Formats: sequence, C-alpha cells, structure tokens
Amino acid sequence: MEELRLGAVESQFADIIWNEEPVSSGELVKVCEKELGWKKSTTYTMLKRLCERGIFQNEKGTVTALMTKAEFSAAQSEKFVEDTFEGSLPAFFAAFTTRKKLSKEEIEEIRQMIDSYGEEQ
Amino acid sequence: MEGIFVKLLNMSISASVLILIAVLLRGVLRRSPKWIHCLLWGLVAVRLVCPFSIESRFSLAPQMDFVEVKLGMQGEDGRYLNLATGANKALNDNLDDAQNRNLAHGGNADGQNTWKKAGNTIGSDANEASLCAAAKRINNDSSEWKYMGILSWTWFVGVVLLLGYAAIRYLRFRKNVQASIRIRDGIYVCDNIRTPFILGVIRPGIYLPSDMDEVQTDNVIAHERAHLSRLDQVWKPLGYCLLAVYWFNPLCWLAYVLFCRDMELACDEKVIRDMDTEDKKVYSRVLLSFSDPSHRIAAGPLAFGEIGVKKRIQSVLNYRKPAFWMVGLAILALVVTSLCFLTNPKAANDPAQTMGTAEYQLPDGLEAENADDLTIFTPNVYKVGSEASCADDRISAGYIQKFNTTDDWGTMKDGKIEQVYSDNHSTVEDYGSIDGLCAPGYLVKVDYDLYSAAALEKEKNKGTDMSEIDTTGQYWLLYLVRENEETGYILALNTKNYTKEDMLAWAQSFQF
Repeated sequence: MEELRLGAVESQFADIIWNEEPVSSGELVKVCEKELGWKKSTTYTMLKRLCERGIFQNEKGTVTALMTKAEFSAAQSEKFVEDTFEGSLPAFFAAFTTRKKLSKEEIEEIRQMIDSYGEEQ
Repeated sequence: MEGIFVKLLNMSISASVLILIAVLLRGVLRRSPKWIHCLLWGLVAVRLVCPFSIESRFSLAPQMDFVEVKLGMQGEDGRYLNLATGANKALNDNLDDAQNRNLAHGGNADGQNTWKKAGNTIGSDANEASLCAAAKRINNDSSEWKYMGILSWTWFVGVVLLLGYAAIRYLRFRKNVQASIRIRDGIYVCDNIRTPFILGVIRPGIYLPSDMDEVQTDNVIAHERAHLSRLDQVWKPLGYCLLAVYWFNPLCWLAYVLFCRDMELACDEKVIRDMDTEDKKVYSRVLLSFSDPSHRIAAGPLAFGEIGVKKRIQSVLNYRKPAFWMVGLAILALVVTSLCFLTNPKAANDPAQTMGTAEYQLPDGLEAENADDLTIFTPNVYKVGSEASCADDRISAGYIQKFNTTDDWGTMKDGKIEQVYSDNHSTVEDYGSIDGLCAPGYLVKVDYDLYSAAALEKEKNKGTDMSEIDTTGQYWLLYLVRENEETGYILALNTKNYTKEDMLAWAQSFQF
C-alpha cells in the first residue's frame, strides 16, 4: 500500500524541497544540514524514501517535485503508520520484559479505573 | 579463563543470597519510595562487581571460596594443593577421606620426597617446588577441572552474544533516529518510532514519536527528564552489562527485570509526586495511550510504555507521600542488609589449645592427645609394623615436648640458642637459631629410627611387606628456651606433610 501520509519530520523535509525545488541534491544537503542538522547520508536516505513514494524525483542530481504541495494534500487518505522495525522481538525477550499487549477490553477496564478514581472521596 | 569463571561463580552465589533478600525486602517495604528499591538493586550490583570484600562479624554471606571447597579444586596460588596436610581446614571439612588421600606425600628411605596417587608413585623429586607443579598438573587433568573448562568457555560465548545483541540493537536505534529533528535542547522528534525513549549514555537524547499531542508530549518529557535526572541512562546499561556477565544465574535475570520495573516506578513517582488528582489521571491516560495495540510497541532502551502499564497506573493513582518514619525504616533496612551481605564472614579461628601454662593453635586437621609433658598429634603419619621399637610420638603427626633445662639439651649464648644436642635422633639438617618467636628458638630436621636392627629383622621374617613400612620418621624440631628459665619446649611436626615454612608459621602461635 502506498504510503501517502507524511510524518512530522518528513513533512518538514518535504516543505524544504517544495520551497527550494528545482534544486541540486548537493545544495539540498547543505540546506538540510543548516536547518535540520542532518548528515549527508540522512538527507539522501530521506530523499530516496520520498522519491519512492512518488512525491519527488531525483534526476541526474537535480531534485524536482512530481506534484505540488496542494495536490499532495488532496491525495491523502486514511493514515497507516509504517513500522520500520523489522519484525517483533523474539518471544522470550517479550516475555522477559513483561510487556503485555493489552486487549481492547483491558484497555477499557483501565480507562474506567482512571476515570472513576477519586470519585469515592 | 577457568579461574575467572570460578571467581564469578563464587561471587554470584554470594549475590544470589542478596538478591533473594532484596526481593523479600521489596515486598516488605512496599509502601516506601521506589528509589529505595533501586538502591537495593544497587547493593546487589556492588556485590556482583566487587571481587574483594570487607570481613565482618555480622556477615551472613556464604564463604568466598564456596565453589573451590565444594569441588576440591586447584586454586591459583596452589592453596588447595596439599590436600593431605589439612592445611586448609574448610577443605578438609568438606571433602571425604578418600579425596583427602588423593594426593599423599610419601617419604622413603633415601630421603627423597615422592608423590603418590592411589598408591602409585607418580613423581619423585627432592625439590618441593617442582613437586607442587607436578601435583598441580595432576589436579588440572582431573575431570572436575576439565568440566570447568567447558563451562567457562560456554559462559564466555554467552557474554559475547548478550553484549553483541545489545550493541546491534543500539546501532539499529541510532540508525533509525538519524532522520529526527531537534525541537528542544536534547529532545528530538522522529517519524519512525512508536514510543518515546532515551538513547545515549554520555550525551543522552530524548526521542519522541512525531504523532503525539501536546498533553502526551508534556507528560512524556517530564517522565524522560526524571530518568535523566536520576542518571538511569547510565544505570540501566550497567545493569545489562552485569546481566551479560552473570547470565548463567537465573536470579540475576529476575534482579534485572525487577530493577527495570523499579526504575520506571521511581520515575513515575518523581513526576507525579506533587500532582493533584486530575493531573495524575491525565498522566495515567498518557501511559495508557502508549499501550494501544494499534501502536506496535518498540522495546527501546528506557521506553516509556514498556513495563506493566496497569501496575504503573495503579501506583500512580494510589500514590501517597511516604511517612518520614517509613523512609527512615527503609534506609535502616538498607544499612543492615549491607552490613550482613556486602561483607564476608571472618575466617574461622581455631580455638587455642593449652598445655599446662602454654598456649598454641592446633594445626588444621590434627587432634591433640595431652599428657603432662608430652602432647601428641594424631593421626599418625609414619607406618610401622607390630615389631617396631619406637615410642608413639615418633610416628605421630607431631608433638610438643616439655623438658627441664637442667637436662642436657643444648647451650645458649648471648640470649640465643647456640646449639642443641642430638640424643636418639640423627640431625639431618641444622637451621640454626630462629628469631621472632615467643622465646629464642632453634630449628633442626631430624630422623628417628623406628626400628632397631633386631626389630627390623623380626619384622622382615614375619613376612611384612617392607615397602609399606617406614623405617625412619623425619621431623622438624623447634626448640624454644628462655635464658634462666626452668622449662623449655620442643615443637615437632613431621616433614611428610609439613614444610619448614609450615613449621615456622605454626610455631608463631605457641606462647608460654
């Protein structure tokens, strides 16, 4: 499923490109270093990611936008958050940290507990 | 490698006792502030880290050489080498006789020292040092030692794996938060993370998911800042390193889990300490929001929503400022625990023996049979047949002989013993006068004939196996005489089991 929603960090980065484009990738790196404090590799990685999503393109060292910011906002749909961690932890480790995934019922139960706290006083 | 592992085994046994106590205390001191619980784990860490310790009367900890004693193994300095001499009392108490005779120092007629194992001579050398080395080799070839070697290497592999795993996780996290943006000093937002956490030890950064609202952000930052103010970003990795070293001990895993839990609870307490009910509810809801299964929780170093959320929320809602006396009691408990478990028991002192007006320490493993002027130490060390013509003390482990200085024993000059006379023994070696004892001393090594010529013939004709018989008993004799005093003493120890150094060391304890 194509990822159309941008996280806060990606948004800031995209805004920079929309402001600067068309721009050489080298120049983009300099701007990102100044404004975000990013290393060259970080900028390139992020750029590649957004290019793969079809928002921008990097042709022979020049970065251009494939759609305007307005067009992009319109195309957004329901949010899916991509989990970039590869797989969940080995089972033994999960048990060892006693992190229980709470079921919907348990969450509701705890929510009730919080809400009703102090009401007896 | 084995030496290190055995040392660690010992330390972990000491620490295990302390861990159990800590778990117990944690339950008892439930209502005390959680930072006290963290201190408890600090005590455990100290026990695990320090190879040495202060000795104290109050110690309830197990002995530091627990493992070696139980297995009868070789110590680094050859301490357990001489199993037969009883030089180490604890060792003899724990090993049975068969193991004690495993390496026996045997004497033979031409004065050479031999080492026997299970009746077979395995080496013969006049030089005691090389004999010790040979015996060490034999001990090292034993199956217990080989077994320990395999265990040690397994342990080492485990340490490497655990540390490696943590290192890889750390690098992964570092890589993932590269694309983050600083919003405040030391605080960054990142798209890729699900829960907030702290990364880094020396210059730690707080990393927040970018999709939090303002309420969440405020509470999360307060919590993570509490961690930083307590230096948790240092303690937690240190704890993990300890776990990596002591991974073979399941109690250490328990300690680490509980320690992490207590750290989170302590931080919660720090944040909500001065909050009113409404704010506490808000904080609780924030905690809950990170448990939503639609967010897949990333276990991070010091992640926010990691440990038992329900328990944490309950602690937050039910928090009461602890009474002053409660804190005092808890600290007292900590001090007492330190005294009893961070110290080691004093080595047991042998009770002093008396002989008339004289006092001395009984050498380890020996019994004393007292008579007026002669105390004989058993068990006997030299073996003779029924035709032997010697007195009891000549085959004993040693003896103390009181004598009258009016008898011809020797001469004194200038406050030192000049010479001693041999009567029915032959002096093998003369070491001259000895200082530093309770009286002027003189040391010789002597041979006693255990058979007269006739008695020897009789014994042979009886068909006794002569290779099993000692015909000479050899002893260290230390004369102790004070000028112008009537009574003098001869201290004797057999040379089979005791070195000259053993003799002199023991003589130090003799007081009259």
